[in-house]
Amino acid sequence: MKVIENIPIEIEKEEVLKSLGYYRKKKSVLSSSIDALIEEEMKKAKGLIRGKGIYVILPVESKSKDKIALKNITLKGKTIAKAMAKAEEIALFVDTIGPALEAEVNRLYQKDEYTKATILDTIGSVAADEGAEYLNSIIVEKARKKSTPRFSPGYGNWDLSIQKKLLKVTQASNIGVTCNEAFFMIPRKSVSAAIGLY
Amino acid sequence: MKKSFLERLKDEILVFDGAMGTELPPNLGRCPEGLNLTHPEVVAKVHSSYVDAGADVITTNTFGGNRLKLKESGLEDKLEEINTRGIEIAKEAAGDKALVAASVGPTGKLLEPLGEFTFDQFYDVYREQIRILAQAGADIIILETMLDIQEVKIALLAAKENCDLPVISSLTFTKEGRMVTGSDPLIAATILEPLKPDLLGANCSLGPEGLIKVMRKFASATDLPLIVEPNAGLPRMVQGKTVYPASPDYMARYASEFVNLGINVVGSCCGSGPEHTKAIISKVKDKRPKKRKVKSMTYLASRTKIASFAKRPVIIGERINPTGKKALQEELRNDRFSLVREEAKKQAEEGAKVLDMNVGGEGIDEARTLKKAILVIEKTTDLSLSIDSPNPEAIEKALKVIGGKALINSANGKEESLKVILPLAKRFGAAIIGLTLDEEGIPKTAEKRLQIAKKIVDRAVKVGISKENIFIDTLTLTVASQQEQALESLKALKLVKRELGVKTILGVSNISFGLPNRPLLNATFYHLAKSYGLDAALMNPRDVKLKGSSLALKVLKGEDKGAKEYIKVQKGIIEEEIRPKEEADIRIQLKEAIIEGNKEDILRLTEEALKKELKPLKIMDEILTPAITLVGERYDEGIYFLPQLISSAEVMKLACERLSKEMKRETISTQGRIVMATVEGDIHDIGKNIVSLLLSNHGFEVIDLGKDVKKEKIIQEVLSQKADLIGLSALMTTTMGRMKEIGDELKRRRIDIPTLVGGAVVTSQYAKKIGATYAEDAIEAVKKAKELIRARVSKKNR
Repeated sequence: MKVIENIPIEIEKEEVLKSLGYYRKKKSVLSSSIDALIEEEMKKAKGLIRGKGIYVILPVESKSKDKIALKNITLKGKTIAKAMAKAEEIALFVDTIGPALEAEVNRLYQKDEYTKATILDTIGSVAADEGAEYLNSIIVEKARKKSTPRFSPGYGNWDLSIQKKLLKVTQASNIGVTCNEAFFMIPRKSVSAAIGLY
Repeated sequence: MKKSFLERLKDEILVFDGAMGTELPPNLGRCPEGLNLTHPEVVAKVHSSYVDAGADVITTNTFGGNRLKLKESGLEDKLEEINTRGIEIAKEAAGDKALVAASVGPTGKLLEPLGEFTFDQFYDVYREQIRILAQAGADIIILETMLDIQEVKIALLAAKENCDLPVISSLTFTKEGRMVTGSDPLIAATILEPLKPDLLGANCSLGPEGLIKVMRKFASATDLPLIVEPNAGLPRMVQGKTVYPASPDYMARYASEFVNLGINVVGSCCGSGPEHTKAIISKVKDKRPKKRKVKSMTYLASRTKIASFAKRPVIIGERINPTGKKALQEELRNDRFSLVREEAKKQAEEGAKVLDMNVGGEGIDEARTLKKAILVIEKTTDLSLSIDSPNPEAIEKALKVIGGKALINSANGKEESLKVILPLAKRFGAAIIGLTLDEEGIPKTAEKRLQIAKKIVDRAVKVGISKENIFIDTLTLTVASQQEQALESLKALKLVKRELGVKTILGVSNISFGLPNRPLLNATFYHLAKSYGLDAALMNPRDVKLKGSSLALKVLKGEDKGAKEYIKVQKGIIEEEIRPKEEADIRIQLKEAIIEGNKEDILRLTEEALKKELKPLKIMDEILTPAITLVGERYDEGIYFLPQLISSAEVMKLACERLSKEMKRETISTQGRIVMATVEGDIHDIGKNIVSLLLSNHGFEVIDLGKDVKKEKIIQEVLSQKADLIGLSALMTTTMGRMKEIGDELKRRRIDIPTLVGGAVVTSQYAKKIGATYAEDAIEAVKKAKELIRARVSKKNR
């Protein structure tokens, strides 16, 4: 198990725009006032984001068409088995940007600042994703192996119910990540995933 | 002695080589320029193949040899070697059979306001590479595959200022016939021509057929020699390999067509090889360059829009100017620009083609503030800019961030002004306004003003500013103090146009200073000056629209026979004035505030509307609801995206809350009562919040129970509130099942109420299965909610 404190997260404005639906149909008009709000919330987000990550690398003990067995955890489902088919080892990881940003989002909603809240929430999602991207690259770099694309619970038919176990195996509570009965991660702006290494 | 490159262009079609990058073996590393050091023989072989094919000019393997690009492959320490070797290898292969053009490509980074880099940073990057290339013995500098016009401008300046070689500016265009950052060929030529590139043109881009249109536009936009180097069509992936579709013959057919258009130099780009070069030569070498005669025109431009002076007078909006405007002064002192933005937008809507930018005033750091204001404006409008400042430092900083071709307002006949301002205009390729005043002040007579104008024009031409880029201002004096001077300015204007052949401009609004009803005088003077041949009017564009002022002049000049037009229009104006004008204004402003999501003004405007004794219900039904409906339509069309939709809804909510205080509960007409909730276990409620907001905007009474809400709680609320509709949201497959449970429970207890569902994983099929209605987004939720409640009401009434 390895903990990465201080994941550097650079928020790409382009990604934020994309996630806000800027390219949903055609390129929308970006009014200067909204542009200014996005800039402002991006600046604010910088102070609210504490990127942390944790991961374990486990050897594949056995695999079949619809599951992959690792020590202490079995990944079930045809899509995850297919995605990890080449893997000799599998890295399970969790990253989070911490609870501060979503607390601010809630505060904004309570003050009826809907626009700012929505923008900041989206920035949080983009940040968590960029954290995952970073963690992914670190893991692959350190392992000096090739890797499969990242796969998260809920993709394809990889059942979300794996979440609890995945958080346990990675000991994600060390970076403050848990999940509720419906397998929502808390803090919400967190990503869990598997990468196959070969 | 061989004739020089530029000499040869006069009576020869010259052929450049084909691609370098796509001719190199793909397995030799990520940075092609690195091969100049590691595999010079491979690079030399490509060059020789083109020399053997008969190319007149070969292009060096230094395209990505600038510091920013090389840094990406960790090769920035080898910059000098890579570029020097690049030239040496090419020269050796060329021998005396071909000339060597040093390739300079883009940095791959973006300039502010699009990116983070500044003019000076880019300039240094280009200067460094170009100096080395020139020193190593290049014959020509070719700036190629350029994506952004401002970057080309900088590269071109760096090239012209740091070597004596001919410089080619070759740009890349997208399917729409524009550069990546939006400039079309006419805009590109307008912006670049004053910087004096030796050749202009396009490369790579769209394949030969796609570049025909682009080059046709270039050919009609500039009389500079032109170059085109298309790629061999748009690359396609075939069995995992990149394949370029254009054969040598295909390319050569187009080469011949290009020459017929008047193009002087033809080559090819990505995906082409020596066979393409050979084929091109066989088609074009017996041709002679076609003479193009292009009428010189006066244009300004932003990155994406041209401002033509063919139809005169062009209105230059004067309102971004803090003189006499307290609020604007205050804003600028505090580094805020919302009024600047607003004025820009308003003037654009009212017909300004150019915006004058003046931010000078007490307590304002002009150079810094002007730059910031321009960065804001460039995001707000696509109009050309006029930099209104006497401060050379501010002008220079402004010119460095403006993506287009700007107008400098202004120089004058004083020696210190001519010495400093004219070279700035020349260096950055700006047009210039010359005021007809000098050390002795403003001359009283038209003839003397003409003399100063002549001096300014002569000096400007001497530093290299061409005549079509000069505007002379014969100066408007205020009639309140110098009444006879109004006609003297106009007389001078006529003289300047006739004697000097340059454009004219007047600060129209000066005429009325100190007198009542200024717009009337301004508009009348504008129309009068127009009849004297005025080309550009610096004024408030709204004044031009003052109805009837141009017609009044036509009546006086006998052009409106029997004053028929005048009578018709004046009747209309009088009728319009009978209607309470202010009320109409507040309606428009309120509507605009919703459409633009203007939170700052909404409460003030709502108060004003109430004060005008508009009924709250009327405000709601006739103003707010149509406005938010329009926002919804814009969202549906993709013109607006999510934050705009929400900010309009947020503003609407503020207005509604204020109005509801005025209404007695029983008079509030509600569309229906809706209980909203995100289901148990689900803690993500952004989507639901937005839907609630929009529903309440549209007159529904929304009881929002929040997130992670238990089934029992939802049903209890539905019963106690006598709700007409339930709205449920769920984000994940694990929580979606709760929706069905709620549906089942309602059925079990025989509670007859429609349910609207939505959320990331929910589909219309799933909704149908559980007996609910699905809405894809907030806008659809409003539509569906209306339908469901209408159906429920008509069922009850039956």
